[in-house]
Amino acid sequence: MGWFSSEKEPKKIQPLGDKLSLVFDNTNDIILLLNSDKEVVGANTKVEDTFNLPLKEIINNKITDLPFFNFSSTRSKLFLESLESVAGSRFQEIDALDRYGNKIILEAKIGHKDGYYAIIFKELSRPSDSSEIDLGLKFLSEVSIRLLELETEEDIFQFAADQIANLAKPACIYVNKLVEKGKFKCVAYAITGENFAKGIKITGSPVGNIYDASDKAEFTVRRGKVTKVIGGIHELSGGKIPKPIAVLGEALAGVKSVFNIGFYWKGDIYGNASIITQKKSDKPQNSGIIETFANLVSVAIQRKKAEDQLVATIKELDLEKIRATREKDKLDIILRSAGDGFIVVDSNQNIILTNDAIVDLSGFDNAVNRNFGKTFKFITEKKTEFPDFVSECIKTGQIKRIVNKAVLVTKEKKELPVDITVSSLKSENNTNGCVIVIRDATKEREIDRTKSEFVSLASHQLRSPLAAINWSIEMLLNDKKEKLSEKQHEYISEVYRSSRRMNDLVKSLLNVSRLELGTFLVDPREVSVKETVNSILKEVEQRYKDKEQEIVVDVEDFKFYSDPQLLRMIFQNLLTNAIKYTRDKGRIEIYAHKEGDKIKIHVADNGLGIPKKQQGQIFSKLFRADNVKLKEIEGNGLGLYIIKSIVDHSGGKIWFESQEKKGTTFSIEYPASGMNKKAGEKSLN
Amino acid sequence: MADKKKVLVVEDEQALRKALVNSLKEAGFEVVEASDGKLGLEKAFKEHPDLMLLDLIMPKMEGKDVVAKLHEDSWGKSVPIIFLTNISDPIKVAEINDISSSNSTLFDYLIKSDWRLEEIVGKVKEKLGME
Repeated sequence: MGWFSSEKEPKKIQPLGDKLSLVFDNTNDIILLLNSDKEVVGANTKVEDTFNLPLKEIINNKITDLPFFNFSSTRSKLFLESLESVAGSRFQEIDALDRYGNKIILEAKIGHKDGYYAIIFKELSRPSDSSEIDLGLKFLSEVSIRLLELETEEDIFQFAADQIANLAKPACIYVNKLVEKGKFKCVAYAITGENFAKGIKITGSPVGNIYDASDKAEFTVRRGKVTKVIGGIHELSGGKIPKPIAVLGEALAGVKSVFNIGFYWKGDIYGNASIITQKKSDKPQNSGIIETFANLVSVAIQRKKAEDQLVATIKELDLEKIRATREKDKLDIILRSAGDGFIVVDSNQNIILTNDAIVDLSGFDNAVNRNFGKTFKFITEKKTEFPDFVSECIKTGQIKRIVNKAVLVTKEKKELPVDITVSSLKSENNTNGCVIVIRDATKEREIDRTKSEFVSLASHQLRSPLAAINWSIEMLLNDKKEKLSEKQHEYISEVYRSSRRMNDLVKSLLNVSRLELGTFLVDPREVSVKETVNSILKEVEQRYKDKEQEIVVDVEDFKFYSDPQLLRMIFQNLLTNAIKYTRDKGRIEIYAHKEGDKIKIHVADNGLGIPKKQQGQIFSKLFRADNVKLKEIEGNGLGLYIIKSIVDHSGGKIWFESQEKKGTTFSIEYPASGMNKKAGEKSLN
Repeated sequence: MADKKKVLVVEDEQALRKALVNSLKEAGFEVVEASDGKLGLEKAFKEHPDLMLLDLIMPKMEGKDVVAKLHEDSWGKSVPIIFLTNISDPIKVAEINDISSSNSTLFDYLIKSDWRLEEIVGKVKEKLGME
């Protein structure tokens, strides 16, 4: 269109030439030329572009009649009134409306000459849109960073309340968190605006109260206090008005609008904010920013929740890891520091795990993955091959302790006495392998040997003089040439009895020590039980005859595959006990029969019996029941202990039934096959 | 006294030897005694007793060595022997078990402190088929 000028007063002002109009039309500024009546006499095409008005409708019109200036504003009025006075200067912030009706702000530069005014407008910004967007962008970029820095969900909600209060200023904000479906809990509160909050003292905290959620709320305020709330998040489930709201009454007296804005993100709701304002409008101030901000808050909360969950998971994982590590460390420490060697093998006897002690014991330093049986060699004390206890354990699943028997052959072919414990690793009903614990038993064996040697020596040394004492007394008592006086005979007889008791005690102690060392042998052969019983009855004949006791013998003539010495000891012990602990004229029954696949032996009496309370201790070493101690019946408390050990170690069972003052029955049972053979160094006697 | 049975007592401990000798004499045996294994072996060959009571642990020559020497001789192989022992040494136990089970009619053993003199005399008589 080109630069256009009025034809009304062409003489007063030179019409703008084409060259000039080219310049004017290509600037970004709006240029108006006014005469002294403030009528537009010239304008550039920028005016048309900006305001969407043809130049001919602009030219010759008074500037005050132009529709695009908003001269209602104080500033614009001031601008027109002071056009003369402001000439030569800049005038800022003149409101105008662009071709779309949007508010724009212009800066004006005014020139004045010969009654003409030249106004050059520069478009500063579009306040309603662009300034809000600028503010919004700046705000959102700031808060999005702050939101990420906040540590807890509660911090985020409080931050949201503060920010929304600022954006909607003046406003009162309640932020509510969704605690369960349909239930909100007020977690944050903020208030802005002098008018709004004037004279208000917030005395309570809304935190902790649970409200129902709905969209609208109506407040009834009387004398500066909220007396009624209908609907909305502020309506209490219990019908009471929360203290902060009640106190806010004065401020809320002017409440015109309540807006609810949700914190939603991707279908999840985390809470909402109630914006209470004194303005009657459809939207709170900065509603666009608030909405976007609410989204950011939702994202931040979602992120926080995910983060919290992640942290919790990681913590839990870490904890598990720490626990596992600690358990492993503990095991490691135990395994490593244990003086005993550990070997774990699978069901094929492949070694899975060993510890340092095994290396020290055996010299094999990388036994893992090797076969146990092919790596570790064991022999007996007598240097014969040792039975495969690992296979047995895997097969039977039973724990086995091998004490005093095994010798480990080390890598350097040294022989090391060891004790072994082998136990199976079970899962459900399967044996997956076993744990073999090997202990250096050198010292124990040495001690055992020393103890055993001591006992042998002591018994030998004791027995020789005992035999000498006994035999000498026997000669004295039987001397037919030099008869002892009655008194002498009596005393010497007492010495003799004591000496024989001493001999029995030595014998018992020796047997106990052998039983405990496990060095006694069970050497079974075919033995006639009848002959054994008869021979013992002959030995003890004098004793039961003295007490006028009746002996009932029901013994089958059968061969019992048993150690003759041990069998003798068993009968001897049970019979002498029965005689000792049965009154004069009492009755004693001896029963021995082969019944099916069992050999059954009973020795029953109708004697003193064993007190019920003490029945559990009867097989204990050195135990003697109270009732026999009171009667001063001789005994060393070793007999039954020895018998039980013998029976237990030779494959039999022993038990008893007893009633005080009624009598006792001892029962022994062996399989028909007889006693189990047991290798040992010494026989019992 | 041709029908008197002759018993050789080989025992190093004097009190025990004396008691055994006296008891056997009282029971009507002809008794020869020796205080160690070596002397015992000499007396055995010289006297050819009907039975020997032989201690196992003795100075100069142990009981089992006496038996070994006796077994080199035709008479020695047939003489019945009752070993006297305190049965404490495991090796001795094994030896006694070996010897006595190899010929149970010829050999026997007893634990000195467990046996009364009259029982021993009884055992001797039993061994010699006198009862």
